[in-house]
Amino acid sequence: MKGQTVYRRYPWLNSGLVILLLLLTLVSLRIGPVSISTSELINALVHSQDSNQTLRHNMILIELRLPRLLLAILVGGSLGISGAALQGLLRNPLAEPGLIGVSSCAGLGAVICLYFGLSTLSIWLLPTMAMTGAALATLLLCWIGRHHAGNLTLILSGIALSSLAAALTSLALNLAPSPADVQDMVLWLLGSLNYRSFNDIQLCFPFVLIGLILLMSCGAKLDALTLGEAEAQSLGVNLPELQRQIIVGTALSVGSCVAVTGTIGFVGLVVPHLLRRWVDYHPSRLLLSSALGGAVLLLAADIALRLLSSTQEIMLGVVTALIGAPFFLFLVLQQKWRVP
Amino acid sequence: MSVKPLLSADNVYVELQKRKILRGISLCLCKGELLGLLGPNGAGKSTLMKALAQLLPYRGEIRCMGRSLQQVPAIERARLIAYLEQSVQKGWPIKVHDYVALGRLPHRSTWYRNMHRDHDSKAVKIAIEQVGLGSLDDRPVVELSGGEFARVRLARALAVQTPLLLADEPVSVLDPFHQLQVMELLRRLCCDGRAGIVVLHDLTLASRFCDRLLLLDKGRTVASGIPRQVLTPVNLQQVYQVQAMVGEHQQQSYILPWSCYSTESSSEEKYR
Repeated sequence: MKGQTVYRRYPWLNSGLVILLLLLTLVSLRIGPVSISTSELINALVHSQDSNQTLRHNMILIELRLPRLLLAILVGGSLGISGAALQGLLRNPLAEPGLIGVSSCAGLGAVICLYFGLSTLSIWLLPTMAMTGAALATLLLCWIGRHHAGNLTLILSGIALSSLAAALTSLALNLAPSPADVQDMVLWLLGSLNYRSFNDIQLCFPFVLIGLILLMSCGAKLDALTLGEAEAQSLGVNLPELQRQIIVGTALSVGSCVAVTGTIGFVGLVVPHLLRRWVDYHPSRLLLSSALGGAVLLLAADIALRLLSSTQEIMLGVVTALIGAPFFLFLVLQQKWRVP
Repeated sequence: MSVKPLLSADNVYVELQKRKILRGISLCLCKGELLGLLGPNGAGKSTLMKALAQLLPYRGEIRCMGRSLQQVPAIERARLIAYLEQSVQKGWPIKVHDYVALGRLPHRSTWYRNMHRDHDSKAVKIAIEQVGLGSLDDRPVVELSGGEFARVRLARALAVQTPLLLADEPVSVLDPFHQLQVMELLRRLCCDGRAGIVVLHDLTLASRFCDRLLLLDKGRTVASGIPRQVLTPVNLQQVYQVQAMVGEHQQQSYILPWSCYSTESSSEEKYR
């Protein structure tokens, strides 16, 4: 009987998030400098060659709004699920992808690319460098995980790594050859979904997919970690393997997203925290809900900034940080759980 | 008796941060037996429990039903040995029922499938009732008192339904009623064909409920055998440095630590 009350709320939450996501999808495709009604939207996507107007709408959707929409969902989902998985692994509600240094190392890779002007050689080089940054951070964290098994060591190493990457990024900005380069780097670091195409999505989608599968499959092991590391291991959880799975999953999904959109913070922190009570604090159930919730939040933030921006577009990373940072402070002050 | 031991340890050495914690411990546990692990703070009891549960690197051989435990896959080992750590933080505020149900994880066919099987929910229900927590079923674990949480954790370990239970100080934070209740429960489970090793500090409980005792000090076995042979005044003085009041009630002996045994420097050095 009591089990039923537990299981009832959880599927409703996910269905609600999916419906919300579909509604926001519709809004996201409709709004913009050229407003497209729902019927025009369907026309443009189904009969693209019929008239001049549908052709124009089709162009706008395919070239601008659809990539932006899909990217918002991919990035939001990746950040949400990575945050949930890391918080489960470290049993700490303050963990998020930015904390273990994956985001900042990816950012560093991109900044290096911009600094040396490599991005002009090939459009693929910037995302590739960013992903390399994320991969190197991941390898280092895996190595640390293998030799010093504790989760606290992992958090602290992540903070050190993240600070180092931030310092090197600042150094690149400091020594940048021209103000234009500085502007390029800063704008990229702020994070945006603007002017992204299906090429960008093609680049990050396979990595995001593998990352999501890796993260989704560790639910039960994260549940077991609720009991503490030793008892979880006594239940058959291989802790180093779980650490590796989550770090690699986070690096793949978040690293490849950062590579395409720049750094977008705080989604991974805020979303799992908001949803946790709705899944009765089960780390496993939080994974899917956080992926959906992250996608909803990022899409909503993107829609909000598109509605608010006039000539100069507000950067998405700025919006999420503006919401996220005060929330982070609130969390720190309210925190009930200590570092295990 | 030609009973094959359920668990046997042979010359187990553990070294942590270059400090020798265990120096050649051997033990043997048969089906139906409850073994009490005794010793002062820092004697190596918890380390031995962790080594037996394969949570620490060790030298020596630990076998379960004749197989070397290092060769048993983790998930299979989880179905053989349930381990209860001395103390853990409460973690996420999940409900008592869900916390105990985590003990069923090793029995799921894959790590990815949810569990709704009748057998699992029955095991969880039995475990919760065994420790007398039926009324707290729906409460978040963070709201429980220390003693209640300790019983929830014991229920979690019992829910795994393994032939062997390793419990590190399961009664030290409980009130007298629940101490007795838990010891009677462990005794009964062992009579039903399971076996257990339990770390205790209460000498009377150890003497009354355990079949055999293993007394550790500074990583070595000082004495092992039936309670009467192990809990001698000499052992208590030398290992615990206490003088105890020993008596008998209803044909069972009780041991009450009464006063500190004066520790001259000479006797301290002797045991270093």
